Amino acid sequence: MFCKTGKGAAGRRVNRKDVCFQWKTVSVQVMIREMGNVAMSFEQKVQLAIVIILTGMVIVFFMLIFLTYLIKGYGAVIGKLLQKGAPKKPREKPAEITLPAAPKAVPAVEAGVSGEVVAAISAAVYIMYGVSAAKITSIRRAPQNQTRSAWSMAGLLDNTRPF
Amino acid sequence: MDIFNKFIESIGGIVQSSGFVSNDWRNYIMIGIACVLIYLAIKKQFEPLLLLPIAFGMLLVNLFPAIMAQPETTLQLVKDYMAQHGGAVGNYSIINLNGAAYYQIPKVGGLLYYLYQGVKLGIYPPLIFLGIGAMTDFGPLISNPKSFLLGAAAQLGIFTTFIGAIFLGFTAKESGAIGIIGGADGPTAIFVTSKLAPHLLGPIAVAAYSYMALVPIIQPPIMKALTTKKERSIVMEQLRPVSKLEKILFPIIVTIIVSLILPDACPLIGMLMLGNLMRESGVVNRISNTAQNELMNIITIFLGTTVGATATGTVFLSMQTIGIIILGLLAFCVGTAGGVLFGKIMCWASHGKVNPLIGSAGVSAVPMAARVSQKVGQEENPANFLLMHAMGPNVAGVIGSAVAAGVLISILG
Repeated sequence: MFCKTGKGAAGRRVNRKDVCFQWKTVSVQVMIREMGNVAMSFEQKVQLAIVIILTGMVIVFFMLIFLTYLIKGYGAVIGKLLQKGAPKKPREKPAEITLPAAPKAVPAVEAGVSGEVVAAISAAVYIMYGVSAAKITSIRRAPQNQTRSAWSMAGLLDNTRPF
Repeated sequence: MDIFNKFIESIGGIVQSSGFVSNDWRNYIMIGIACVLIYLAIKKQFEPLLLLPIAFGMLLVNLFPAIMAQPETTLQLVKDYMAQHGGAVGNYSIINLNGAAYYQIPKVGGLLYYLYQGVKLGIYPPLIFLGIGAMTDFGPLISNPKSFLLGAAAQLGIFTTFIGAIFLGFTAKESGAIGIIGGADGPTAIFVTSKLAPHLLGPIAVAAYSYMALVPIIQPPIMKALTTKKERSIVMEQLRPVSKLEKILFPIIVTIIVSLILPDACPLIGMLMLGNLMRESGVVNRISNTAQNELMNIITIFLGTTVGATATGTVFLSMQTIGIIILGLLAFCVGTAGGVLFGKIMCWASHGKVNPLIGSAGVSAVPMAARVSQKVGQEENPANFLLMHAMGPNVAGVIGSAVAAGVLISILG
């Protein structure tokens, strides 16, 4: 139960048995400190719930929206700086294109694995590690887990590996 | 005969001090629950890296409660002490009370009590975040900063669960600690609970990590119920490449902004971003590797075991625990729904460029939630690869849950 302030209305003091506050001056922290283990009335619970959900969502959204624009902004600035910094090359006639020699070493591929799968795996490794840092020497099927699919196992291993 | 009597006395003393005499029925039920959790961790592989130490800590404290005993000092009259020890003088400090001299005899606390101080003082969770930051690539988030909004929307689960907990009779602080389960972030949940409601640490930690392991089961039905087949089939544009400089500036900027606005989130966000900066800078690979591996493993062992050791029978075997388990499930479900619904709003606002499924990855169960988005998307369109798009909201959710934790500690602490 909350006291109303206004002309002629006197706010009652806070005590543990009769938790009546002056509406304008109470803060949530004071209310929680005064409550302690005292059971809250329905109205107090509603007030606290609304305050917490509004404050929480507003602050979380505000913070993350602000970060969104900040990151977009500095991303654009850095992009422009990097473009400016790259030396401008004068237009030249395109040189004759010579294809690099085909790599002599080919990965040992298990029977039954199609060329498309090999290409997809090679592309994935290139994205992860770069062409200079990794060379595929062999491709073979991973042992199948009887109870889980490959995706499920990969997810589980990756989820738990950090810990 | 004298020797025989003393032998019988010794055996009697050992029997009297055994667990069979000092433990009660609650301890035995908790021992059973601990064994079930060990089974789930090993056989079913439910988040084993944390659930196994938690379960074993629970087992230890219910077998030998004194393993978590606090250190204490007992007072004994000097003359009584000397009488017991054949006139020998004790090597303890003496205090005079009412004209009598007392020895202050210290008793050392239990093993896990001292290790638990890292949880109680809020040390372990930020160190875990240090390791997580060192392992996380924020590239997908930087290339698509709108993912932050999905990470924010998924934190709805935290605050709506707070409402549920308050009306179920929990205090404000307890409700805040229960609500943070919805962040799907174990270290954050432990950090907030240790500050707001340390007596609920055991059940909240067990609930949080169990539900994190159940993300692939809990999320898909909610995602399918809230989206249409057409929405689930949306293929998103490829993400732009992110420069090294952007990745280095990101942790610095986030730390400064978040810590200035919400200082209570600084321990978690600061350590997360420190770990990430160590990774992205490329100049401290040695300590980055340590943070990701050895440090994480050590802290995981201490954190898991000591958190589990707070799960005593009196705390765990109560209606409160059932309430926490139900509310934890509510938190996960509402968080997933919040992320997906906001994803639908973004899909509408972007004229169909955003697949709403990535919104569910805003719960910060990295990277399992992102994989769930990928899997559900691929069920509709096998050529749809949502994984990297979903990683943006997934890692944004880690930041979002840390901010939400800061809000709860700031208001309720």
